[in-house]
Amino acid sequence: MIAKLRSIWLVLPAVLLIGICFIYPVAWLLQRSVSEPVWGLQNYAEIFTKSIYLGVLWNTVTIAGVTTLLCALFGFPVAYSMVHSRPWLRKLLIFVVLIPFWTSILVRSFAWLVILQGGGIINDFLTGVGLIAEPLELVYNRLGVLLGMVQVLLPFMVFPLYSVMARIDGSYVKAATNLGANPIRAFFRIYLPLCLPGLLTGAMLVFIISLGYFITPALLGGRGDIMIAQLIFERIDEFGDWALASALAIVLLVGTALLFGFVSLLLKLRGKGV
Amino acid sequence: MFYSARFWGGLRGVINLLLAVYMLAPLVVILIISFSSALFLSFPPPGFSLQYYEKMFSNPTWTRTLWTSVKIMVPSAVIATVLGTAAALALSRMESRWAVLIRGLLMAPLIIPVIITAAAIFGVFRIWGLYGTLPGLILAHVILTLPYVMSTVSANLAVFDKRLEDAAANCGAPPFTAFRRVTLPLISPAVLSGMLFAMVISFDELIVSLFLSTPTIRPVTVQMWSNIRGDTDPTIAAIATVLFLFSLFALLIDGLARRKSGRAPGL
Amino acid sequence: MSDPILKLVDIGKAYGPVDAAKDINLHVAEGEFVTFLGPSGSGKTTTLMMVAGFTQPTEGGIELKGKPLDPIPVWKRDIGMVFQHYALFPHMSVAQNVAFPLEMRGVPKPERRKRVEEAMELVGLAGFGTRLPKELSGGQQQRVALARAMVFKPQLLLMDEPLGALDKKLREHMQLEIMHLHKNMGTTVLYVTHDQEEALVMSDRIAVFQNGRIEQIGSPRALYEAPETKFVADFIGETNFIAGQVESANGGTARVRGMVGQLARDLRDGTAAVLAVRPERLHVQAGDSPGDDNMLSGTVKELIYLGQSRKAIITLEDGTEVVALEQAAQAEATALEPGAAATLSFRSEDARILADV
Repeated sequence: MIAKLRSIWLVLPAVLLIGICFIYPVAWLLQRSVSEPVWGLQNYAEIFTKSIYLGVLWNTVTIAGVTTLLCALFGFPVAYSMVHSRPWLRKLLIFVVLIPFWTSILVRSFAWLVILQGGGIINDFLTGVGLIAEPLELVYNRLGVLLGMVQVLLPFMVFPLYSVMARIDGSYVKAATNLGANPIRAFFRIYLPLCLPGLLTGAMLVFIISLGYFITPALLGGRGDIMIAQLIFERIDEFGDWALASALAIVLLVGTALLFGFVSLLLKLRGKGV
Repeated sequence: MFYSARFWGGLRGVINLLLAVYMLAPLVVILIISFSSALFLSFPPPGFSLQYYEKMFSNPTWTRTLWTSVKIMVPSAVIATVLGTAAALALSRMESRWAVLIRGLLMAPLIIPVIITAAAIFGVFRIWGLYGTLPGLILAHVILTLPYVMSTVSANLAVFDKRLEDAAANCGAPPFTAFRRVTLPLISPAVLSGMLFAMVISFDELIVSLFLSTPTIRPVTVQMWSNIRGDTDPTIAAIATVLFLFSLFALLIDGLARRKSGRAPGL
Repeated sequence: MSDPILKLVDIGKAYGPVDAAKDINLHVAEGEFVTFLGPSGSGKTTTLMMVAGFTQPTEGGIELKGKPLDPIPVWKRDIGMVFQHYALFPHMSVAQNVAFPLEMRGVPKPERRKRVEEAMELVGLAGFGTRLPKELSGGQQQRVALARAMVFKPQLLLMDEPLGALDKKLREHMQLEIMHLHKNMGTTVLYVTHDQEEALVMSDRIAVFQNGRIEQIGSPRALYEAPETKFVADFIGETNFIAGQVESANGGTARVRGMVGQLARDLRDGTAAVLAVRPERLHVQAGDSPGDDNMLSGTVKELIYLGQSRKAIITLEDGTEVVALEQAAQAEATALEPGAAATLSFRSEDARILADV
């Protein structure tokens, strides 16, 4: 009992701080979304009916979706390489995947700008050797956004996959080939299904994090690549439009929470062998 | 060809190489440009010079914003470390039902998209008069970094053998002594790790700072943001390099601390 | 017996409706080696933890040297303990580990150093002081734990399955070593184990735990030769049980299925009971029985050669399987064949009649 009481005092400051400076503000935002300028759901109605907002929502979901797909396609062989490499190479690969994790997203976006823009390294090189006459549009468009985002989010796909693959017993695939499956069938029938929990976790992590992305699309995207987080920022920063911004934030919050709940449920069900 | 091990091995090699280029190229480019002697962005640079580092340290805009970042980072990391470690300790000895609830609450800022946190905090802090103030920025950074400290320390406590505390008590150590002599030394690498993590995150933080800062109180990342949106001034590369070196330095200290904690102290 | 150093009076620990331990009564004499033996979940560790102070009893009281222990917190109890898996502090050297209890008691440094050296020497680890626990083998870590628990000369030494993590050979070696240390130091020891052989080898007395209660307390010999409950007879050593009902109970003896045995506890006629006979107390003969008092007839099912002895498994007429153990010389003299008839006989002093619960 005494120990329990003492525990409460230890955790109380953190709980109070998060409660006052985080939970309350989010609740305040929620209240704003249904009370500005008058009480009602008009802000939500506007988001889900006006084509500019629907367009931004569509952008957000498609960019997040394509980022997830690319991360999966690229992350899978990388994770596989990590598991099946000699220790030194594995350490090197982990280091390489984690390096961007330790560099500011701002720094990385800036670097991509330097590399990709009209007078950037790639275009300079290509025009210099005479391969192209006009610089290619590599940035301030969807391509730039995806290049930047996949790089940042790759670790979230690679590490869940890696941890699952590392636990897969190599003898399963050997057994399958021994039972007459050719290597490709053995891969699709045995290895891939065994990797599924890692793939699922990684995909959901990447997708959810992508939904709220702000810096990369803002710096590397064009006007046609505006995502929901940018819209929230612009609404508040440029127009002081709390009505729409708060409603957008709540839409993002609910979307993220629903996805998160869905994934936890899915993983729990899988864990029970359903 | 599809079944040959050499084909697949070769493919893996290519993918690994691609990965290395994709992940490292931006960083390498920044490093090289930051030492460029050219007056504007060009690659490869015509020669070596430290002009951009000189510019960075002579331009009051950069020195002031860098210093502001430090003034936010140090207190917020310390507060987040103390509160996060205390919370992790408390949660590790709490009844599971409550612990799950509280843990979820404290981890929320990590799960919820930062833009939401930023907008919400901005809205409320403006009312409270914390907008554009150092305490406001510090508080906001504590909110963002506390989950990292807590999860790092919690992960360490999960593998911490609680019977060691029992053993200390049995040897005659009162609870606080047992904590100070046994628990704390054993979790201190994780606490340090959490603090370094918090420092790096605070130093690199942009979104919340973007909302809360004003031209007078402005962290370096916000300054970089507005500069990058304008043009690609190579001075940014120098600052980016400093930011990166700071992260690397933190990583190095973390590694050293981990190694040292495994060595024998004499009697 | 002089005044007991440790008294457990009616102590119990309830977790909600579940009794982890109940009605535990035990007096331990100074210098005695008492073992708590029982399967996991039988309450033996719970009881030890109550003595150490990690668990508060929900009823009853514990006294050490006549003083109630309950109000004294763990760190003031002056009781040494060797933990399961040792619980050595991984960030301290071996010497620092052993010095820790002395430091907590404010023993001055030179004296501390001397006593640590003595303790290390006692457990045969002189010169290992600067090592880290993880640099030692399991057996060596075990000794460090022992040194740490004894260095401050506690009034009582508790050991919670201290040898559980060691392999069989090392375990047997350490058993002897702990016994020698106990003899030399004269410390009172409470020892918890689930290994009955270990308990028989080491203890002055054994308390057998089952379902949170003490089934029986006694010397190893008493527990083996004169078990009072079916559980004790079954848990310690191997026993044959022949089920039936108590007939013609008469003071110390009674009959079950017509056979005479010693009544372990007072049982009335008609009570469901078993007749318990140790395999080595059964005498086997080939052929049919002449139908005497303590005789059983059956068929040889299997003969197992064990080197120094032979095990004969015999199926009785009602299907009960009975095991008889014969020394090699005796076994050679008895011509048994699987499938052939055999007769078992035993002395009524060797048969115990126990309530069948």
